[in-house]
Amino acid sequence: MAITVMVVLIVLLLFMLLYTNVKLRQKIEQAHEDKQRLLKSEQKASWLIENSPVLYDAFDENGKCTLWNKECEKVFGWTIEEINAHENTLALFYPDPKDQAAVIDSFVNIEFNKYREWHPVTKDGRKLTTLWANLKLPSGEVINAGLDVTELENAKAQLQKLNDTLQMQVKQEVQKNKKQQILMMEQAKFAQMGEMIQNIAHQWRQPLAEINSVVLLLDTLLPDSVKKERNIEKTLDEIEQITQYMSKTIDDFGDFFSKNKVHTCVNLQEMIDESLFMVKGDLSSILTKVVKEINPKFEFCGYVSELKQVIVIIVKNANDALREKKIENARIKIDAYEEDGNYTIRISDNGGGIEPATMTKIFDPYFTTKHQSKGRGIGLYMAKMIIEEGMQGKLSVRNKDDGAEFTIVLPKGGEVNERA
Amino acid sequence: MSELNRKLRVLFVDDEPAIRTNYTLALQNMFDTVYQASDGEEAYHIYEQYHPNILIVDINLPKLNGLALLQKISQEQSGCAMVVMSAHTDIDSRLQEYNLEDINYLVKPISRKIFINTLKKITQQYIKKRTLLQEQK
Repeated sequence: MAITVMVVLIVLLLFMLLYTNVKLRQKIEQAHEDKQRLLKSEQKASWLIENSPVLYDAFDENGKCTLWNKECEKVFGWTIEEINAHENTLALFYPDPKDQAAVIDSFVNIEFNKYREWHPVTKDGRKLTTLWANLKLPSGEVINAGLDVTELENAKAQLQKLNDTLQMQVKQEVQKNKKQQILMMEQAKFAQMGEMIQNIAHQWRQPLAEINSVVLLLDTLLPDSVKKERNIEKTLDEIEQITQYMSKTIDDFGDFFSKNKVHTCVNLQEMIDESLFMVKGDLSSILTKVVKEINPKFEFCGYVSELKQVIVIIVKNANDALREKKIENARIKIDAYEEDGNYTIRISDNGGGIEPATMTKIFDPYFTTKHQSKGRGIGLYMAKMIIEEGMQGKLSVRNKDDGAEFTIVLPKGGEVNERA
Repeated sequence: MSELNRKLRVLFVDDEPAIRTNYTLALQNMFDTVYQASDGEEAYHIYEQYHPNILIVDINLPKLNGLALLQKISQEQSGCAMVVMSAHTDIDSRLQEYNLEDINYLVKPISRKIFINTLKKITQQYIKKRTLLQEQK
């Protein structure tokens, strides 16, 4: 009995031993597996940190570098050994003490998991744009994760610059286009005006031809004795001069618009006299006195009939103003002087001057202060066009003393300067 | 020979009534016989019927224009003198078109002195031409 009990006990003990042994073995195996897994996980983590295309670094409280992954090496050019060989590791990346202080401050007032922009320099001195975030590991250890966004920033800056230039270019092109359009419109208008004037010219000459036919008839019908006695011959000549001038006027306008202008040289004083002849009737009707101060030696070369037109326009305008304002002792003064190869012709009146509001618009087309029946507002516009577009001169106006003064500045001429 | 020969017969052609009347009246003071016409066809009929010695023709005429009329007449080599009038200043190219480069032309409005001088000139030309033609015969 006792033996049986003993045997049972021994067997039981053996079993227990065996069981414990198996359990222990299992545990050891488990531990081994765990260790393997841990090792793998650690390997994975360190591989990730080492090889990620993300900057990872860490520094201890003494400023020694404790973590420096491949990306850091690649981006900054330093190895961990090179960094730690320096006393002040921070100064390698931030030469400016102010920047160093900012970095130190960021470690004191630490803010986790938030990117902040920094501009460290590389081993070869390039300044980078980087984003850094502080990461707190479960162990309490702090590592820094960063991204090099230099190229991105550069690209952004370039894009911005490109965008700006493009905007500017577009703006410039638009402006150029607008100017071109205005020019084209002007040219088209010019061509249309030319055509219109050609059409008018024909209609215009017909009544002038009629007037001349009457003159011829009068001349043949009137007995010579009567013609002599009454000085009729001279009057008939005058009528023909006027019809001739009217015909020429329309030709001149036609020529102006048709671009085929006649370039000649004339005595300036004679030319002004001829211009005044055309407004003779107007001037004498209100007894406007015309004073001339022109050097008789001045010779002008250029588009003479155009210049005459301009003088006629200005003198007629001045005369109209004098008449409208009922100025006593009405006077128009024309003088000319020479300066730097230019002639300056000044036409002034004593009509009290031009209102400031009128002054700014005086050369605008279709601007007139006259009654609709008397003015279309084309004269001074044309005058400015003729002088400035056709003759490379300058036409301006100002108030002076007791009236307005128009100033024409023109190259003395001598060379043919055809308008393209 | 700077005077007008009153015996020469003149044809004046213009479609503008006022111009035609005035010139006809003025010409009647210088010549005994003056015909008038207001279009090219009428002018040609008068030419065929009366054979005027001097033709004064406006360029723009209804039915048959002045240049076509003169071309037609000049082809007949009657030797009559011709003047063309135009309100256009650039008629050279048109004259070429009708082979009338040698013709006398006047640009309207025409001053009376130029008109009369031209008349004198073509009268001389006419007389010369006629003498030449007679000699040939």
